[in-house]
Amino acid sequence: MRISTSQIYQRGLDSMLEQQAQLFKTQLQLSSNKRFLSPADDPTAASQVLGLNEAISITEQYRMNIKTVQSRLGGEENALRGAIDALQRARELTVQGSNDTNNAADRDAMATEVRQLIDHVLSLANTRDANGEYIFAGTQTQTKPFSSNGSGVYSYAGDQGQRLLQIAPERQVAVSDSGLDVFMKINNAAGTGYQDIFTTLETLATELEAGNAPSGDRLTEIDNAMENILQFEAKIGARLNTVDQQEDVNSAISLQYQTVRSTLSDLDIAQAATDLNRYLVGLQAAQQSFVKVQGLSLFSYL
Amino acid sequence: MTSGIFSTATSGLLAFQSAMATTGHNIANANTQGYTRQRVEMSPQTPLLSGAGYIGNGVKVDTVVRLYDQFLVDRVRNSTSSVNSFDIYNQYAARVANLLGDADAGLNGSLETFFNSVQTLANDPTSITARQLVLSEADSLVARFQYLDDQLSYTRKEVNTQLGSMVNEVNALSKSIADLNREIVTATGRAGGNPPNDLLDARDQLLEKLSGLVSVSTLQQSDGSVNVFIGNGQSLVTGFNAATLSTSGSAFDATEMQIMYTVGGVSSDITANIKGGELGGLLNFRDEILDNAQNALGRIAVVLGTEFNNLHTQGVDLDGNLGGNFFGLGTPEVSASKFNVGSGTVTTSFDTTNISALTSKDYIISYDGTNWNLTDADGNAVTMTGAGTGVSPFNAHGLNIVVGGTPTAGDRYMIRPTRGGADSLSLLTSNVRAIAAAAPVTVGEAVNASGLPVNTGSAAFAYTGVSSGFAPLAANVTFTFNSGTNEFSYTDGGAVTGTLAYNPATDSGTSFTVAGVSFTVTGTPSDTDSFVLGNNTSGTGDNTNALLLAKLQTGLTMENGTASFQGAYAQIVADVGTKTLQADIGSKAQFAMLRQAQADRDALSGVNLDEEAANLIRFQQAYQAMAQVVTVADSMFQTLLSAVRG
Repeated sequence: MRISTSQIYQRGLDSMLEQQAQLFKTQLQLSSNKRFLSPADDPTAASQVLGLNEAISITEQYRMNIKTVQSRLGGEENALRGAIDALQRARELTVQGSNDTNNAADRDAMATEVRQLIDHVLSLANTRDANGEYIFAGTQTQTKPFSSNGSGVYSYAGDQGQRLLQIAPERQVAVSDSGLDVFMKINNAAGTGYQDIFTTLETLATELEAGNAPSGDRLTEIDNAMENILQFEAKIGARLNTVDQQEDVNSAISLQYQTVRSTLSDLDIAQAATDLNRYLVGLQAAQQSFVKVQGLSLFSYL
Repeated sequence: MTSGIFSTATSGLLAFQSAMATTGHNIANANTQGYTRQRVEMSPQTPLLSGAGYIGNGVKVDTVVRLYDQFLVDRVRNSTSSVNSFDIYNQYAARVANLLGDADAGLNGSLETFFNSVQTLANDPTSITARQLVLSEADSLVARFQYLDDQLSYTRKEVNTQLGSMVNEVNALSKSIADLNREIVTATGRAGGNPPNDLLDARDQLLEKLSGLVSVSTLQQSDGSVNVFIGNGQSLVTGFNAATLSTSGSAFDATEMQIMYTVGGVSSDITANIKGGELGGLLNFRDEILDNAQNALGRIAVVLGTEFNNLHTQGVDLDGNLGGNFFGLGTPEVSASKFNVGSGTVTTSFDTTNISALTSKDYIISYDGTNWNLTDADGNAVTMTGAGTGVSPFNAHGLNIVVGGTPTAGDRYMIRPTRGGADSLSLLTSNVRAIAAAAPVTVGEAVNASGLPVNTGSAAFAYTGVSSGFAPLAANVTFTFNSGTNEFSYTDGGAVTGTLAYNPATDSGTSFTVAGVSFTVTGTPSDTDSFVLGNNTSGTGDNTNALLLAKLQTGLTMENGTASFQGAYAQIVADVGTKTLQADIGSKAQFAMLRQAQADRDALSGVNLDEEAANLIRFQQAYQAMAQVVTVADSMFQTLLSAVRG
């Protein structure tokens, strides 16, 4: 086929430009370590990477939520443990106070200690977390839940709600228990209704102050109270186990998403380096052959 | 006799001079764009009749021809149209793909940080810091939507401007072609039928430039002029006359440039018929990529804003007030056709309870004299429910349409539901206390004045949600169980009263709705156990609504319940990316074909300097030989003269 002079030039030029474009693209890939520089390079992978980015972001957020759960439940657990210790002491005093070898002065001393225990449990029930929220107030977290009228009547001003936190796409875990459930809704001695822990301790103190042995009901009531709080301690333990397991799952999932994303979007450096070399050589060959071919002309021999 | 030889020699000298001149012309134009090499056509002179037969009389130059094949030239023109069309489409499409798909500047990053801030709020709903963060991130999200939309709008302006300047170029080229037609016809006539080669080359160049702008077809006329047609057979150049194209707003939108063809004072819109070349590529880009991308982005903004608002108005804020709308949204755009005769009115709004049916299409609603009919921009009919009145609006695809006034048959209106969606998104509140993170009601077992529970059974009420359009309760609703009849009777001391059948043995876990509040009942209540449902006025630590708002991120809220916000956005990116990739592949393929077509044309018409050099030598030698003939004829004559002189 006949080739015109401009065709000879055009073809040489085209192959040089082509090699340059490939070289440039490979250089960009290497310097950014990305396999595709624009969604047009690989539309499917680009949209998959967007989805993975969101999934990783959400999973990392769940992991942060779990940290909040652990901190909150840790605080609640401490408070409950303190309450149990106080009740344990109250129980000892009750047993001791029932002993007929006590005189009025002894019982009076015990009563004083019981009153201190009441204050202690009251302050535990009014625990606030690091953000200033009352943890046993249900959802009325900015109002002090437990108070006394000064004459031995205690009331609960919180509500019955629980706060849940999201730790996985379809999983929420409670980070609080209402003061109603923990300190108020305790079976009374007769089993006919409820009596709160403060009234129990208040009655104990009053009985001791009167110089009498505490009624047998007090032991039952204190035992019921301890059992109730222990129940919640167990629940907290279970929740903390749950979030531990979920944290393992979450961190594994996050790692897997990141691996897949890396496979899709990261450059295969070895391949790219080889390509770079190949295009360099190709460009040099195109340039040299261009010069040689352009130099040929019959006019040089005329 | 010698005069015959002289005239033969002269004819040869003249012919070879012409041949060398033409060769020189070819060499001089070796690098001229679009030049077709020329060749002198020679033929023998009419021979002289003599007694001994016919004696040859030398050579004459018939004409100078272009080495030209119309078919090859047409192929180059068609390839040029295709390449330019793909190229400009690819160039603009890549811009949109890179804008939307950028991991940092795209929408996805903003969506992620916004919803993360809502989760942080759910972890700590009373924290002012967490609330402030939600407002800041919402601001950023709105700003990102607007930035992306601005870029797309700017591209749209660019496209419209470019259409205008391209149309001007087309007009200038067609006028020049028409002028050249006249010159060629005149020149051919003057030369008695010999082709004016350089003018023909010039006209071919103009035609190639024109086909770079728009696909054209040509028809050679017998007088030497060429008629040019575009689109569906609209004539651009007829003989010495050129038609003009212009741009003008569409029937519905004065800023959306359409290509108009004017003949005999009547303008018609030929945009749909324009194919190929940069004009065709640009129009394709606007239709297939730009309109879709802007609408789809707007759709995400509208659905996100609507769903967020729907939930936000079902929660209470830090002051116990029911939440207001969190995001501000626009309304669907409606524009009447400028050809409408009647005075009908069409107003539209979003159907906020059915927003997931919203599409990213534009619609046209038209009146046929009796009924209103809705079609989408591709022409597919869309069924509407409802009567079109304010009480019962037409409803389709997440839109409510109310019609009125007195339209005339044939009147049309364009509805663009989501075109301005991203631009109109705004944040309505700057008050951190006004974020509604808590549930609007509380429900729990009855307690005495000291807060001690009084029920003896094991039943529990659990709140699940409120109905849309929920308004605060007038008063607390008390539910009391009657174990004899196995039912709860409830009253709020006013209009809200009734009974709920509940058999503890079989109905544990049943869901009920009272006064717009939904809840489940579990367990076994004792006789006269009671439960209270009331407005949440001080339960600021409740995070139920915040949890629901956070879950919107992964909820399937779009595309009739099949895609999330991020899924819908990834779809746009993939769509634009794929179209860009296809245009890139098409462009490369067409470019290869263009090069091939050019090579084929140049194989016939291109100048090869070596060939011309060889020709130069050939004609030079022939000229020298011919000059020798003159010398010999002269010496023959001298011999004769000296023979006669005696």
